[in-house]
Amino acid sequence: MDAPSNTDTAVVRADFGFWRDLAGGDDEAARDLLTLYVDDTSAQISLMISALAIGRADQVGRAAHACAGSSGTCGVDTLAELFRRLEQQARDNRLDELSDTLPLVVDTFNHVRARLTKTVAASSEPIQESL
Amino acid sequence: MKTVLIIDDNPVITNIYRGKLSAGGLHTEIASNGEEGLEMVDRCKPDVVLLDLMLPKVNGMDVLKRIRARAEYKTLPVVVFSNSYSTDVMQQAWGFGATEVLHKSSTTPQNVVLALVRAIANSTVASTPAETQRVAAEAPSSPENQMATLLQRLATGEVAAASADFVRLVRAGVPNDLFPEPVVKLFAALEVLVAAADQMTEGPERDLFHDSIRAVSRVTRTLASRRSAVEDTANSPQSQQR
Repeated sequence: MDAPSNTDTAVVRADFGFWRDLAGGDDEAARDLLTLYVDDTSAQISLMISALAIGRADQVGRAAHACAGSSGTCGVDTLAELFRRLEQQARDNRLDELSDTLPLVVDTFNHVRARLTKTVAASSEPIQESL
Repeated sequence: MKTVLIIDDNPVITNIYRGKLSAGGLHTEIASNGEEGLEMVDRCKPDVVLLDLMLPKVNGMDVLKRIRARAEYKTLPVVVFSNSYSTDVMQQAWGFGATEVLHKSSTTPQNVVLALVRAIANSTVASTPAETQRVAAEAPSSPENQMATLLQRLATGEVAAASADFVRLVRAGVPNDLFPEPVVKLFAALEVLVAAADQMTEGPERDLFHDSIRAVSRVTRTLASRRSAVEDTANSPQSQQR
């Protein structure tokens, strides 16, 4: 398994303990929360892409606002910052800038999703006695 | 068991807080839009409401206004939990009778739970700012209680005592995230202001001095609005009757 790079840790809190604590201390609840975060963010990003395609900055802004809140609470700070940028651009109806930022959000989210998927998988594996 | 009504349309946020509150021995009800939230305030009779501001159907600010318009809910604790970056919006929430205003990105889930528990405790045993202060003073001096005292002193203009509280809490190693953002900004700005005033000559120091004054001014406006909200509560006819 690849060791996480500094870039990885800057993008997402991928340690399962953090998510377990966030979910109230229960492993199963933590896995559910991870899956819910990934699925909900993915759905909201799809909504943003569709909304931008028809020039609805207001819809992009609402979805970005929701994602900024959940990403911030879940410690995915880099993504939260990008969603806040999207929200501001949407509020100012800057469609060109939204078109530039949204692909960056998609790339970052794909990276986050990959890391979190590994985290969920690793949390179900038996604990190793030594490293 | 005390009941918390969460009015928020974000499933990730509600999932997190349902788990956290359940682990803390609190029952949770969830409404995913403002209209449903208002119905559930009547139906569930919650002990405290955690309210998002950007909501479908009826927005959070209107939910807050409609709750406060009802005599039976004048003292129901409502903790506003918003992602808004507008100071005006946060000040509006205070003006409309929010018990506490928290920012999603700068508040940890643990601190949200503490704020809810504190709001329930204060509404149960204390109904005026003076009683709240007395209860905070008499309770064991946990960091949370000391913070409540500090905020109360700021709200009533006891700046010197609040500064002393702040220094004591910092020296005791209280985590930074326990301090509400305006308090941290105020004391950080004051620190820079004093340092800049000591060394002020023409040039960058004077610019820094003026920037710091503006920062202090912004934060004190936020705190002043909070003080007004406390005074309005204290002067309300309902409080006078107690």
